[in-house]
Amino acid sequence: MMMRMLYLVKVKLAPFFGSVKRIGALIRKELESLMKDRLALLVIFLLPIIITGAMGMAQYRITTLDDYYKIAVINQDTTLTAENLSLSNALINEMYMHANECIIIPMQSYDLAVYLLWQRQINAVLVIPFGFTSQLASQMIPAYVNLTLDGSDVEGQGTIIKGVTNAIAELKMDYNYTKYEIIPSSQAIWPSETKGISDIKITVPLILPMLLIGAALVITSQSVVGDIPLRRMLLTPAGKSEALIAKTISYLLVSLLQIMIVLGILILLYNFQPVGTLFNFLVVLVLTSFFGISLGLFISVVSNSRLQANQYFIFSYLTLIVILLAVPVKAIQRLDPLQLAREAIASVTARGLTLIDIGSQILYLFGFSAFFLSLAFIAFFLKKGLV
Amino acid sequence: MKNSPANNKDIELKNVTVKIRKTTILQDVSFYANRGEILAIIGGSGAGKSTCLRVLTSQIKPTKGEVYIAGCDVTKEGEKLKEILGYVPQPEEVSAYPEFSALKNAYFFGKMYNLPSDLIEKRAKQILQILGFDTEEMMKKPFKNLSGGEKKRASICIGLIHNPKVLLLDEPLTGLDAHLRVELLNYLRNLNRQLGVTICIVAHDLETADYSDRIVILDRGKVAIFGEPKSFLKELPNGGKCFRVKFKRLTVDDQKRVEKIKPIKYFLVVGRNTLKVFPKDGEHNLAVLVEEFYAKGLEPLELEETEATFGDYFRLFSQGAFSAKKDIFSINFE
Repeated sequence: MMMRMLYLVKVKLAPFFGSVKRIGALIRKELESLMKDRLALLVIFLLPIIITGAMGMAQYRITTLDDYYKIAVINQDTTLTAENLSLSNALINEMYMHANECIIIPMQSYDLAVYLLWQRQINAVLVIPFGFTSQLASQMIPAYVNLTLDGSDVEGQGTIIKGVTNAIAELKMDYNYTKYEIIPSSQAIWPSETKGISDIKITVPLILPMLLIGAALVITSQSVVGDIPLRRMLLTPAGKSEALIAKTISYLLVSLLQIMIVLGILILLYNFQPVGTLFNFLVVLVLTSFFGISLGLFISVVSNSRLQANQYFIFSYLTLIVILLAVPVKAIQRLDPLQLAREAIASVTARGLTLIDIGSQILYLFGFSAFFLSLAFIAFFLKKGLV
Repeated sequence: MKNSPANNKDIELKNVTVKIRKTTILQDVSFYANRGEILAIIGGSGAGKSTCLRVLTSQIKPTKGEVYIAGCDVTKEGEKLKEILGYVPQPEEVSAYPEFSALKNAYFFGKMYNLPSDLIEKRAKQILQILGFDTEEMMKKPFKNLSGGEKKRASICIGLIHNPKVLLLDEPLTGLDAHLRVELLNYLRNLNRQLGVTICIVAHDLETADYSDRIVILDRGKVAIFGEPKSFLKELPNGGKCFRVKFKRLTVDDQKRVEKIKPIKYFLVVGRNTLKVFPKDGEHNLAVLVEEFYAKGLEPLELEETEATFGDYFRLFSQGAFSAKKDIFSINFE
């Protein structure tokens, strides 16, 4: 009875095992093909090394003068306190010390300073008007400073205002002008307590999704349209679904290898330590790659030529990046897989959140991947006239 | 064999009609090949060869008619067909993975049939040896580095790796030099004899016919000629025995003079200043022929006895030599 049962199971499952064997052989074929493809090798190995290397510059603070915001300070104040002190000069000193990420440039001419701002040679003009010291010292009349900013430099505005505000707060505290005020003390606890131009904990969530999705797209967008002998292979018992499953698994394995290279460089070379577990970080990275693979396979299946696949790849990748960086509508941004991956990576590496905590991002990311992979399967099944 | 007519036919099309939208691509096409034979499906552009091939590989279903490959009803048993049919595509890029060797390609294609690795290697080497891959080094050379003829043979090996009953080749001679074409056809003959596989060659030239046991010529979706080339040649005078004659010069006027030579029934221009001459039955006499040429003022330089090819038969046929079959004169081979 038992023997008969085993025999029946074996007979019933034979097609399944046959299919699994074929998928295994197809995966081997894919991987061996990739290892012989120089462009693929470049994308898999060299690209992560270059990009992660570039990210490392942030870790070691390799910065230039261009990375600092330049504030021209025009001091028109000549008044003094009863103790013969110039509070405008004291404010400038505070700016030198507390306006982080800013370079202070004393100037005489307001017109020249505004011209330089127009020319983007500097980032802001701070005017300390005549009477600043006397008004502040009187403790009766409010004292003002006039800050002129480049309206098109959204990122710089925040840093400059923060720098000036810090300097003013320090001045008030040092000279005891805080009797009836609450001075806010701000402290950035994320992404890093360290002060500096940038930090690898900022660049990792931004760059890694772009790298992983981009690399996966580059390789997989050519994987079906470029696999011309596959048309012949589909005249063997190998089915279309087996071919696509094998490709998905192969590229996932390659992505895993790529992720290991990136993690290896980040951890061993730059001492990158995620706040959360490495496993959570790994899961998010694999999911990010999976999205790139799914979209790439879909592109490859619907394309009729390698050139068309390249065009679709550029179009879709640019769309993702433009939504991430240039569309200010949060509701749309939240649906951008690059943004989803960015938030998920930031959450697990800098805040130590668990996969359950970032469940919505994980689900969205997986959902998008499943959606494109399903479309790839459907389009492949509908494709006719392969030979 | 349950669906097949009870015979030893490995390829059989019965009254097959294929219509795509309102256009009839194949109309009432019937032909067959017995087990172990070589069948050539020949036709010019638009004759319906590609459609025939797609019907045979179960890529399209005929609107009407029946198709059997080694007893398998192609229209109903597409999956079973994959096991019994080997296919060799025409385009080089579809044939094999360029970065892999002939052996490696055979391995991956063999694995699609779940064959054990050692069996694949043994069989691939056996086939490649028949196909002239004498050394292991040649078998392990990347496909992309092989010559045109070698690539075609490697592709044939892939098509045969799972020991199919029928091997289908799509225009295997395309892109090959004259000597490579003959070489490849001889290799196919060897394969057919040594492995006993039934071979179906889809081609657009008549050269293939001389290596085939059976041919079918398609013209605008219909069967123009079907049968054994040998039997067609028997229709020629003296069973196809003829002379190839090279002249010092051969003008149109000279050709008109040849027409007037009584012992000659047909002749064909087969090269520059060269004719293939078919004497009437019972008048196959070289000496008489030479005398006649000189009598008409023609100077033959070389004379050799030879045999007609199917190509010769077909040209005569197209020129209306056999009055009963005048209806397909306009077959155009590109």
